[in-house]
Amino acid sequence: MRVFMLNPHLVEIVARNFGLEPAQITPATNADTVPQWDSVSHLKLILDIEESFAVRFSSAELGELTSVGRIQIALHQRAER
Amino acid sequence: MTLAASQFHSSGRIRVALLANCTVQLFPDLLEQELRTAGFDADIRVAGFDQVRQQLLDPGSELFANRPDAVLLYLDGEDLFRDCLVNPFALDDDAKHNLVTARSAELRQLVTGAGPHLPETAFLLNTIALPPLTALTGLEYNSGYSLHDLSYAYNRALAGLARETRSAIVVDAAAVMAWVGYRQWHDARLWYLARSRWSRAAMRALAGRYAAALAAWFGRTRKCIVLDLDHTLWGGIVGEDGIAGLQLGEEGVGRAFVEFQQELLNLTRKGILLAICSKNNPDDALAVIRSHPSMPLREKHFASIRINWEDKATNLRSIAEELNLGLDSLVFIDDNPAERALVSHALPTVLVPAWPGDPAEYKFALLGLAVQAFPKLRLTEEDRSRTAMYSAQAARRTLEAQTCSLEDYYRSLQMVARIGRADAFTVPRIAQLTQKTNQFNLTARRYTEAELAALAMSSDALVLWLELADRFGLNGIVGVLILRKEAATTWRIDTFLLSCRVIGRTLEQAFLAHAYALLRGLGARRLVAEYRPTARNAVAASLYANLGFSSVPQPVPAADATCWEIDLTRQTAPAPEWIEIVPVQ
Repeated sequence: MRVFMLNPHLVEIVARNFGLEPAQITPATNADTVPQWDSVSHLKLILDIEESFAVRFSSAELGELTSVGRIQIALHQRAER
Repeated sequence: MTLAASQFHSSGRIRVALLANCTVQLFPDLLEQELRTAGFDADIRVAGFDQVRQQLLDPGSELFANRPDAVLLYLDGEDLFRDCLVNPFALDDDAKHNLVTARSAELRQLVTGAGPHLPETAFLLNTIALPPLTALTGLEYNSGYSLHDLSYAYNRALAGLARETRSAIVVDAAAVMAWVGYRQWHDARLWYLARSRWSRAAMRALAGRYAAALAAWFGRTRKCIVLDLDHTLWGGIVGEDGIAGLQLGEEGVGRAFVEFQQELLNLTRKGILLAICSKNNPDDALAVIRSHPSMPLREKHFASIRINWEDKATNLRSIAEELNLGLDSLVFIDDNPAERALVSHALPTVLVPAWPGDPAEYKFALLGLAVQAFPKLRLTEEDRSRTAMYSAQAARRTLEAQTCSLEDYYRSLQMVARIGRADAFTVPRIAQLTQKTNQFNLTARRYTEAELAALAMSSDALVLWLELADRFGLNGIVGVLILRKEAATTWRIDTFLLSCRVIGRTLEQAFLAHAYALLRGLGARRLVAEYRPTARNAVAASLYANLGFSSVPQPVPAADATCWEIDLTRQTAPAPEWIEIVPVQ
């Protein structure tokens, strides 16, 4: 697995949404490993990220971005565009 | 004070039930945030998807068991009239009319049915708007086909319901949608993935409006808006640019200041007070307010004016004191971020909104602020008369400034004082005055209505009220004098007070002169009085000395009261000639 630095701002948003410590969050943190990560809290998380990073994901992405790593990659792709 | 307001705990804890015909799971977080900003600590319960009927029609439902302070019943227009939107060509006028009638009758039945089970609960309903882009775009208004008929008729029915039912409150969600804009209001992704009718932006805006409606319902509104002058009420600095150099009028951005002032004027029509707190030379600034041809606001619109070089926190404190308001009733508007920072640091309970740098933004900044800080659901008689009362007060101040001598001023007021004995109609107001009056109150004795009613019946007491009218209007009952018979020919002033609104108008002389005459008629030869100092009545400390009473030793040397008497067999000071006294039998 490719190791990369997580955006600290993203980590903070994820930690706040699920009541976790930032240190606990890795790229692999996902809806399967975090019990609080249900469909409603997923949408809240995505909307928080959209507001904070001033981006908008497609409806397809909304369904797919279910791990911190995937979210970071999607944000990264937007920044490169 | 409404029933709800009197029962509202100062803690701000409220229970809110949220019911909707669409998915609202994403909403409670934002609602809670907005309610917290408005000073509420809300416990929000969300009913399951489309549980509206079950919860409101079943007296054993969870909703009733929780006894919410407020029920937010959100019905989205796109859900109410889904079939019409799927095929807007299918329904004729009669069918549409019947559909709207059925929907609004159902809502009425839900609210009036649940009301008796929750007698103190507010029911927050919403207006609807249908999407502004539909298959009928172009045909709407030009052909017989219409969707807007539906929302128009439904919203009108809501207004009828709110007028008939005190606990029904309409939140104008359609206006919020128009303000946000449908493309920002509607997030198609959230609709398809979560059946949410709202975007994040829509939820935030709507939550703010619900919070404002609840703040109004519970009486949590501020009362006075305090304004800076230079760069706030007008463009430019009067001390440097002069009156003629100010931006104020039809030219360019001068119009922005005019429209801003027009909206401030509208606030006064809703019972909100205006005040000025500005660092200027008073003469320069007052000259603009009095004589600039394009000023919609004049001196009479301001309940309190502080134009000086003192710091603004001190001035705001003194404005609050003058108007008998708490600092948490004030909103402070200043274009200068440094002044705003100083005030919000020194007086954290004053609301100090961020203010746009561009005067073009002022009007809508004010209108948005008013929704949040001065929310109103209904206008009371009190709201309407508050403006008149304070503008009369301001007019008196203007007159005082214009007339050369004090006596001329008193004379020009054309005061008429009606004086009578307490009866069933006047006892409540007299009791209120004894309880509330702190400044011009010689003994600060507090009476209940029952105590006063008993006293008024006694042959050994005189409970007198004074009602004042002047050329600016009626002030109501503003003075109380309670006299008790102490011995065969000796009477005592038990209570003597004047409302702070009429201090400094020689009414006390007129009131006492009338009392002397009444007492002589009852065979009195001596009148004794005392002044009992409190934290706030220093204004009356030398009253008896000034009115010809002689000081006498205190019967109880330890007490800090001063004691006085006057010989009624000798000549006493007459009533001032500028006050006409009308005895009321």
